[in-house]
Amino acid sequence: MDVAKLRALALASVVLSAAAATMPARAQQGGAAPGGEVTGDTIVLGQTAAQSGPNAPTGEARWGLEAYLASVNAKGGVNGKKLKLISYDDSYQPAQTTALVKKLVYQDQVFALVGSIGSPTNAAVYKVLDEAKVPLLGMGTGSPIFYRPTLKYVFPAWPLYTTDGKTMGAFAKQRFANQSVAIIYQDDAFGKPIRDGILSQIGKAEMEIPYVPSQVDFSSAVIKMKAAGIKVVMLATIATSGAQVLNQMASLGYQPQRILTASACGYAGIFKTIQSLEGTYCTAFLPAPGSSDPRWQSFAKGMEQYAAGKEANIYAAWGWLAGEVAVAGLQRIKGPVTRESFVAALDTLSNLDTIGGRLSYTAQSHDGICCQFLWQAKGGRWENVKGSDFDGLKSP
Amino acid sequence: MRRAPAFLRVIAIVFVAVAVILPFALRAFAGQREVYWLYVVSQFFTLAMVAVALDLLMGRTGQISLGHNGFFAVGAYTAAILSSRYGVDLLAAMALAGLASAIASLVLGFPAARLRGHYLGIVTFGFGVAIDQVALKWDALTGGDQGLHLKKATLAGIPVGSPFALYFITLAVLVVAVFLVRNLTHTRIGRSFAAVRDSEVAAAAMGVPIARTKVVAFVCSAFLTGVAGSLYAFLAGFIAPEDFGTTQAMLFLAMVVIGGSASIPGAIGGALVVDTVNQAASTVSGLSLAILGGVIVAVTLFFPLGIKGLIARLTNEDDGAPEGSRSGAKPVAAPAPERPIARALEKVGTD
Amino acid sequence: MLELILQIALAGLAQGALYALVALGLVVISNTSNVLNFAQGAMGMAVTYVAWALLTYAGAPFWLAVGAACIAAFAIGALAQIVLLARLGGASDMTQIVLTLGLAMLIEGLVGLGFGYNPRPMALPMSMGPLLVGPVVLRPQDIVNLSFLVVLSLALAVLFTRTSIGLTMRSITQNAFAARLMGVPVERVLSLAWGFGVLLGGAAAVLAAPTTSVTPDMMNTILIYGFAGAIMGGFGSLVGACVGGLLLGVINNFVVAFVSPQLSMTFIFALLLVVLYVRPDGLFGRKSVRKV
Repeated sequence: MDVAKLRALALASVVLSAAAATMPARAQQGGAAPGGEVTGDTIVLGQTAAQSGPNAPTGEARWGLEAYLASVNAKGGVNGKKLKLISYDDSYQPAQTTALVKKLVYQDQVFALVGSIGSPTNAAVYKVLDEAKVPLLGMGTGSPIFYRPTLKYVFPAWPLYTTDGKTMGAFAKQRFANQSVAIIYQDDAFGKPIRDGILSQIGKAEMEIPYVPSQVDFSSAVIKMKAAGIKVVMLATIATSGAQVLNQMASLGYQPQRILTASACGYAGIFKTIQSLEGTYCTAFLPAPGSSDPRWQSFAKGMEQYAAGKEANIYAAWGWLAGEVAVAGLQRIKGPVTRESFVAALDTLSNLDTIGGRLSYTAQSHDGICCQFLWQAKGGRWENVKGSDFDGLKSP
Repeated sequence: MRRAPAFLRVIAIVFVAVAVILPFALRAFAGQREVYWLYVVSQFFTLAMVAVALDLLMGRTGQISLGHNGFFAVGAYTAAILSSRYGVDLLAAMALAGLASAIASLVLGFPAARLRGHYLGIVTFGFGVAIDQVALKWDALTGGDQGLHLKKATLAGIPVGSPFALYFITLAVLVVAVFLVRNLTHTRIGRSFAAVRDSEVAAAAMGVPIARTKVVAFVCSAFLTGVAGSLYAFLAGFIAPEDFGTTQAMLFLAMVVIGGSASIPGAIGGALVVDTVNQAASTVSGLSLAILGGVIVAVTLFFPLGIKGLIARLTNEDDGAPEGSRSGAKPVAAPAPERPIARALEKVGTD
Repeated sequence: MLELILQIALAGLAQGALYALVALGLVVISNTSNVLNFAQGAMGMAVTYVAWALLTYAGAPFWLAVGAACIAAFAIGALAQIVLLARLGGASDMTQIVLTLGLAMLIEGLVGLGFGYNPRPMALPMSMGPLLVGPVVLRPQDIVNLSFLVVLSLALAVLFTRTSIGLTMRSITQNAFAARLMGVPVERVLSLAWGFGVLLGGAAAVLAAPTTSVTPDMMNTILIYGFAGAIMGGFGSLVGACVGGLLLGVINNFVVAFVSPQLSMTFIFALLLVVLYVRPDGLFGRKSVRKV
């Protein structure tokens, strides 16, 4: 093919593309996404969560969600319809989440997205889903962007990260008033709201130390805190980084009061991984793993029955929570099961009793679970701390 | 202009034809499912563009880059910032994204021109890491880890944000890019790329400005990668620093190596293989990393010359001496009877 | 203030010892076979799981588990060279690098699948607490890291200067083709080199485990610093790798403590660019002569 023909081909493809591009697209953009009404006897739900990569533990939410849906199906389903879950592995990469959500909505044509895990991952898709009028609920994140402004089709279930921080701050103010405080926080949409919440309660902290998840060496941070004589250290960290900080403190013989955020505490084996965890506090909205709390017991039983072989840990509990919210909404639908009627039903949930506490939605506010409390590490297990329920700490 | 082998010409025509027909076929047969497939294939086009651009640098000029995710990110963020803040239209965003990446490559290219082999590889790798960190930290500009949402793409006022339109635009840009790269390799600059790759010393002796040639190669490669990044951003509608991590740099590298060096169809084929495996693996939960790694190992082990080698074998063409990048003494290679001086003489001739 | 600086420098040295170990391993492998082993971190991580499993399930004493891990690392390295890299003899360096990258992904993926990403504990069996040396706290971890580096570097030095194997490796580094002509069993020696190289990486990983906990991606960041250290020191030189790694550890700690933790790698690589601009072969690298 000589020069002229090649040029002609290139030109032709460009012209063709331009022509095609300006052709009016057939009602795809902003139009109703498929799967909006459930006419058969199965309601198909979709989820994205990391099943591989460093955030894989959080993806265990899938098993909790599957187990809850199975337990509901065993009792006859919702208004005679069975529930089915399609869950994909996005490896915590927002680019993957975008593609997989498109797959779930347009290829698998799910009714709603339930229990998707992650802040950046959900951030990639929540606006698109809201525009496409596909409900997104019970996500595994407390990032304020999903709560403010309230979006019609987005229903976060967790307390905001800011509320988490407020609980930490209020507790510190109550128990350790006037002692020097340092905050180690992850420098992103997870750690920063927690830090802001803490500061809103205690005013200011002597030291604020940001970090990024790829950091493996916290020796300099710990050394600085020890040198400054910090008495209370608050960690707005993920599990692995939190473990590293606490171990560094132990190896330097440094034992301040330690308050962790929920995400740093929930995994099994934490008591072996972190030396000298004893006495550490941790915020929570879910009951302590393995505790005698009846809500945890029924969750653990459900996991045993319907997700045999999968651990009944905090991550699975996230999925269980998402399932409770979804099913509660579905059960309240009177008439045809459409996305509109689903959303309307969810907006009527008031003080729903979930494994994570009381949850309410209104048309104006989708703030989810209101309140948190604290655990303390005692004798190799977590125990609820009495008097640590800080109601009324909801964000304005 | 050298004529491409008949086999390749046919493949090229078939490829473009299928690509053009695909959306119409999808619309007719798959109904609403087309939105997903159009998206996936459009993203593949942007990756193919990066593969071709990276091959220009690595396969044709012999410069290792382990940090092309950095250029991709610069392009994507430029487009995202311009779109989300100023509503800039698609064409302008693409051009500016390419320009921004090109400028970034100048920052990298000048010092890199003095480096070779492992040093260059690791410095470029560091560049990719640095861009990622800066994107995360400079949140006033980039939205930090919250990411950026782009406005719907427009072209001179006409909305072209539909999956259908973006698909064709991305395809057109890919075709133009391939065309440009192919033409480039047959110009004097393209021949100086090859001279630098084959033997820097000989090329220098022949009067080829080594440092400048390397920088030009970087700039061209970065420009195209930046444009691809901008398209990626408009397609996805949202970008965050997580998307441009070291995994992406590794995937780009894998695409080019699987494709075989200095081969445009190879690069596109390599992109196809890697992207397909990546997408497929994510539906098999928990195994994506292992599957991806396994495929890369298998392909490099059994097809070290890549798809290009495969094509050469299929068309029974003599693909000559291995056109890999040179980066030092090979432990088991006999002195190659390549007469690099003579080849350099042939290539860097009078124009 | 001085105490703070000394403390941070010391902690940086201890961390830098790990980077130095990784860098040493990379340089040993790269010098003999001219391949950047991107799977260095993943292989080290894999043998750390071996050590952890021995500790947890077989109740083995700590140093035995570490020793077993080192032997396993040697085996993995040699095996990798024999089974994989040797097959690629004539292929371009890029292809070999991508092979190691794929290997790294495969190893991490499989370990992640088998063991999950929940952090596993691995503590040093040191009942002693931190030592006070003047104003500075010396943690047991610091002592172990630095001792390992010293012992292993000395062992390497002896290997390369006094044993025939070491001399053979050096001959291959200088000119593989000529070595082959002289009857050197190149393939066999290459597998030994890989074995030693990965052993160093395994040692680094096992030493890092008490700090980072054992996860499939525990070595990813350390590997990057290892590369940077090797480059800074100059790829041809073992001394350079050591110095580069240690220097990097100290600088990094200071950047994290006083400048910006989020931009630590950016600073490091900017520094690297500067160093390479002034000395394109690294701080200790020998100027390589390129022939036509």
